Amino acid sequence: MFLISPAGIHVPLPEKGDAIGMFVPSKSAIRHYTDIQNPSRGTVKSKVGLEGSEQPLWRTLDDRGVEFYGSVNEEVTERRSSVSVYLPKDFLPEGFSVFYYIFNDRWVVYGERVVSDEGASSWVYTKFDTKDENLADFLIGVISDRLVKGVREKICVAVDACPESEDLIKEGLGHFEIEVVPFSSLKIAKVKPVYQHKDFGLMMLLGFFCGFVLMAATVGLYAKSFFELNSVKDEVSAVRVQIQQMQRQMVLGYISDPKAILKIIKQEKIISPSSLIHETATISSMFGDIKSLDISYDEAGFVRDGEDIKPGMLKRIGEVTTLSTVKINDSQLLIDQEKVAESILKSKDYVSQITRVNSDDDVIKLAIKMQLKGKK
Amino acid sequence: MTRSGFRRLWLLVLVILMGASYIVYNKTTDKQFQIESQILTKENLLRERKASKALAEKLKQVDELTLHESDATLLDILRFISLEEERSFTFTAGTKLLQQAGDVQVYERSFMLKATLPYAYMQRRLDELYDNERITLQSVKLEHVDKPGGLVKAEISAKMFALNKQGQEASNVIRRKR
Repeated sequence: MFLISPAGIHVPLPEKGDAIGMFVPSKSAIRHYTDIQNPSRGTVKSKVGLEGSEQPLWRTLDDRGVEFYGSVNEEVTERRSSVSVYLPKDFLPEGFSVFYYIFNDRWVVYGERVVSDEGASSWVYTKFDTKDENLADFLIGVISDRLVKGVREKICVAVDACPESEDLIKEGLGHFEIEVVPFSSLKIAKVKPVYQHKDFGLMMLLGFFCGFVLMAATVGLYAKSFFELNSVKDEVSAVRVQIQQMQRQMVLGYISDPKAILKIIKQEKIISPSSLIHETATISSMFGDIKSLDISYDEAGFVRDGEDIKPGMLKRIGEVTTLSTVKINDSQLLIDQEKVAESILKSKDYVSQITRVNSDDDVIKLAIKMQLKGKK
Repeated sequence: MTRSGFRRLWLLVLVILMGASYIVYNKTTDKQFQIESQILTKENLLRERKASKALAEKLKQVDELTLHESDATLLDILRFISLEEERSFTFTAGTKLLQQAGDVQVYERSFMLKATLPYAYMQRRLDELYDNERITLQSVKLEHVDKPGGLVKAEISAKMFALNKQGQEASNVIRRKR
């Protein structure tokens, strides 16, 4: 608890922690304003003409505008922890019309509610410095003088931090049946302080922490991106080097379309010559002694349906015609050759046609058409 | 420190932190754009590498399946068709035909192989020639030989392909290997 007045600070503010103060205004300094729109600390400060770090002590009244009590200097306004300043009457319990608050064995704040001729009530405050006199004697004297006047009123006496005088005051006022209470037992009325600032230290620390986290996060993200970019750049360089090496080692690098060359070069493997020769020889030997066998893989020799079958030529994929020259027995008749051919066609599924072409008396040429295995 | 001084310091620090965060964030965004660009470049390069690899494989295949047209010797040709150590076959060169494959000229060389060999051995040799991808077998004519040993006389008509291979050293030059 600290005590201030227009003359200055009388009971100093605590060094740490939240502080509640009492301001004792002088009657002459109190001013009423009814022309302040949207009253706030700024508008009131501007209205009363305060400058710098001085802040107004003011309160909005229910129906009478704004009441200005004085100002506080930077010793109060620049305090880091929260500060709330109230008027003396804000500490007074209900039912009392006079109070005496004693602070630090020295300061006495006196207040009294007065009613004007128009019936309006107001408070007058006075502060006494008892530095050069005995506090208990002074207080008992003042209160006894008041009681002698015989006015029926309830007097509140509260002491704060008075180790020397408290017992004496209690003893002295005990004769008048006035109870002395510790100031800390008084409850502040539910009114807005005449000055208040809060300690936003925790919030500011939180803000700083958020800013720091944000900064750390962005720096972390930047570092991650930086290393990731370097990594990707390295990978790109490595792939470039690989391509360059591949191009340097590439043979026939001047050829752009090797597929066209391969298409010309590569032969489609249809059936091995040994199989073709063996089958032709097996079939031809049934007609007589084989003189020669011809097979051809030349695709240029393809023939179309209706054309003469040229010996030893592939007809189409999946079907091959071979030519064999066979010496037959003199006694063999054409019908015998036909029977042999029919038996071959019956016994060998893959033989689709046997044709006799360009035959002499004892030598016949046979064109044998065979289906390749697995194809139709 | 006074309340207003502390507040000003706090505001200053906060502004610095926020400003620095904003600047760093902008730089990070730039980096992210660069990363995306580099990833795109990398993907393109990987595609290029894949295409180059496929092209290199095809070119290697072409190189293996073709002769050097301008300076191939007879030994090169025999080696090319895997007959350099074969005494039974006689090799006769045939016609030469020029074909255009894209921007490259391909030389088609016909040749004839003649040999008299036992039937079974001839069958095996024919299959080997047929399986040799460097040769395109055109026709085979087998004739019975009236001699003991089951011999057959074969005339094998085939073709092979050659290119003018730029940048390759002539094969008739023998250098000491280092």
